[in-house]
Amino acid sequence: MIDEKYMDEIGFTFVKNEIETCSPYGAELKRKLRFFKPEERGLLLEELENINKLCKAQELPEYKKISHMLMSLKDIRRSIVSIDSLTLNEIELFEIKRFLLQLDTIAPLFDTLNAKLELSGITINRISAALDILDPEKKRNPAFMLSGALSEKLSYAREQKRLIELQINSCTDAKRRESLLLKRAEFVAMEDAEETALKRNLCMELRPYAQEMLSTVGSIAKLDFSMAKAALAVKYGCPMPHITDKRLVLTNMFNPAVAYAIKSRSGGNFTPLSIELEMGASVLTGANMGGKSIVLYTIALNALCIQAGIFPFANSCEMPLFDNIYMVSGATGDYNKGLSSFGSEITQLNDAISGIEASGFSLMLVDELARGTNPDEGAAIVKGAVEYVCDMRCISLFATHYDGVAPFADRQYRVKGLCDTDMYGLKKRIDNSNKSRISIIEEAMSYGVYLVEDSSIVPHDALSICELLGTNPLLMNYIKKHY
Amino acid sequence: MLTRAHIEPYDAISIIGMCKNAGKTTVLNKMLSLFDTNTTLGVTSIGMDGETIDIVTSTKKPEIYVRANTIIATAANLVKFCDITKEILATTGMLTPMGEVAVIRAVSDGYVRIGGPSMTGQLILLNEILKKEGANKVFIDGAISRRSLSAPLVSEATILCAGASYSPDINTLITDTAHICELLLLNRSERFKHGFDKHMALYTKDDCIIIQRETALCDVLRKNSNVAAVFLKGAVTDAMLKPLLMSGIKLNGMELCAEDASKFLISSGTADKIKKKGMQLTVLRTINLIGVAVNPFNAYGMSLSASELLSRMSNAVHVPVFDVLAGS
Repeated sequence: MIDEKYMDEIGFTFVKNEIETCSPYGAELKRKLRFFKPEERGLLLEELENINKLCKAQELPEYKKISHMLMSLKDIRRSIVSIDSLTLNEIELFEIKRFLLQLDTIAPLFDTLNAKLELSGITINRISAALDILDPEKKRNPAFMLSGALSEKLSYAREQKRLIELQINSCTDAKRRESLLLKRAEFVAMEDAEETALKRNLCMELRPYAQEMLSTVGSIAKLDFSMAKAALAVKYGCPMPHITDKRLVLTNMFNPAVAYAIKSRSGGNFTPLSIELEMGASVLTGANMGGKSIVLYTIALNALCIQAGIFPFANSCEMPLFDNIYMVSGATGDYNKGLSSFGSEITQLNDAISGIEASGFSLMLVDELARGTNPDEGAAIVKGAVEYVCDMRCISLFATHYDGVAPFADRQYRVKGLCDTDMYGLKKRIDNSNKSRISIIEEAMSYGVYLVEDSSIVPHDALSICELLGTNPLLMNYIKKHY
Repeated sequence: MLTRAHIEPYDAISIIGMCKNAGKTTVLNKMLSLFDTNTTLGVTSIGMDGETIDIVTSTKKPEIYVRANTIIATAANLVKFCDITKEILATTGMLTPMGEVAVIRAVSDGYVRIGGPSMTGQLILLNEILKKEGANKVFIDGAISRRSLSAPLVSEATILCAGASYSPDINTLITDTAHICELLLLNRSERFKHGFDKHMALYTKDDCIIIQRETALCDVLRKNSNVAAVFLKGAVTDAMLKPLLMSGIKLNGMELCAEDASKFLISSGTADKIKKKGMQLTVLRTINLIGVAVNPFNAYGMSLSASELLSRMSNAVHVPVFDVLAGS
């Protein structure tokens, strides 16, 4: 869906780690997380709808009991699969019995919950007939034993063994004890043979239920994973997304990974961002340190989350489904592939463009393309790329510094940066404060984005920031001379 | 002779050995035979036990024979070697090279092979599971050189097995056993009431200094004068103490405390030198050593005289001494 190397950077790994499943089955779905393709829209909507219902059910007693029960489950799929071809041993049969008993508790709880929520695609039923095979006396206690009642021969062997054992216990003569032990061994062998036959029979009888057990395990996994996603959505206040055909609207979106980093570094808060994108190319311009990259990451994160069936991190969200999501950035240099940062980003751009041409509908986020090359050529490359992409089947956003790119794009966004800031006041605050310059500028920086109506006015924040960062005044004079 | 009265007061008893084939299984069988089926016994082991032939040394070994109603905790792959009639009570999630540890009730008497977990934390948990399943008394069989399971967190009482297999020389066996006994019987520290997470702690006349980083004991004592007591976290080894003993630092009257006796991995020679220098070894948690079981049988040949071993060992240690083969 997106190049693996960006998973950490955009904050998707963080989000994935925040999903806390209860059972080993749910944990596996999380580990092997799948992204829904555009043609699986129906399945995705079903999943999102389930999560939406589960979000509202968090306080129901049966919801809590189910999560508690899920924690006690163990992964027994290997034993279930083995029923078909092998004879299970006592411990495996014990585990299957325990699972069927657990199902006896979970199934009615799920029924009560589902009567209220009407979840789709999840069926959890008792498999009493299978349980009766392993617990014919219907004692329903968790211990498992091959019952003597199942075979006369077995109960005979055990009785004989017991009688000899009684003699062994009271025997003081070593020789006689030895012969008693030998006699016992005969009945041990008979017991063992009978038990083996019994286990084989039990497995044959269980065989018709193996498929039902596996599909129940599948439903449990799905329920567990959806419950974990619902808990995450409640924790972060994420809304049910609206799946569109082409439009992308994120209102007050945020990136939980970045928000966590800001919180733990300086105690500050993430400034929510709103953006609307449509087919074609948009550009995002604005001050250094203004958070352009974060805007791209957060869009990518939310698009990826939705396709994984995770609620978006925003106040509201409209999102189409993409065949692919491309990030193009020179910051993650493929130095280990022997590419320079420029080489790497051009390669990524080529791959993205050929990917978009080859497949259906994509999202492309390009961060400061050609930043490392000379500005004249860099600007030309970006202008060319923007103009070319305008007509492609994708939604794209180019973050760039270069002047004059905007006219080639369908629309332009700008990060607010310092444009609303009283520069004189800020400079005074820096001079009078003992905090670091960077942290004061960060505080003053406005991280919102806005749609630019008139793209001819280009703010020159870089110069102001150099000044605020205390660049040598003589050097400043030289810089200004060239402006 | 080992009697029921020796082990009656304790809920969890561990058996540890001076070496392989020291007679631990014989002692375990003896302990198992002391109770009738009215007492539910729990049995587990650290590492694997109960095999008929020692897989390391290829010598014949006694098997573990349990009575009906005993609860055993053993690895899944060893269950097929147990000839008891089995009722599976629980699986524990503790993994061993022989599979997951399962808890099984013996519905009949029979031979079992026991393979338990090898981490102290897991043994503590397993002890609790066995009790929850109904065991009134838990016996923990140790493996070679695993003195750590005698740690008081795991068991309430410990029996040390000393067998002729340790050394064909009776003097070596007795001297080394006496040394281990002395360590196992170390007194509780008066100064240190609790442990420290850090590497080391020093008591000087008026202060307690905590040393965070791994630093040689010698260097620390050179820098700090008037040290009355030192606490060391983790193992205390010969290599740590030898430079100290040769340094010329005044050690007379100084206390050296470890978490428990299983942490003192020192030779009898080093222990002697410590004693001569007037240094006193202590522990935070004492081990309740209730006896030494001697085994005159040597699995590799050259068995010792049972009566001589019994009497000489009784003189050398300060706890009751039993002959594991007596009466069998």
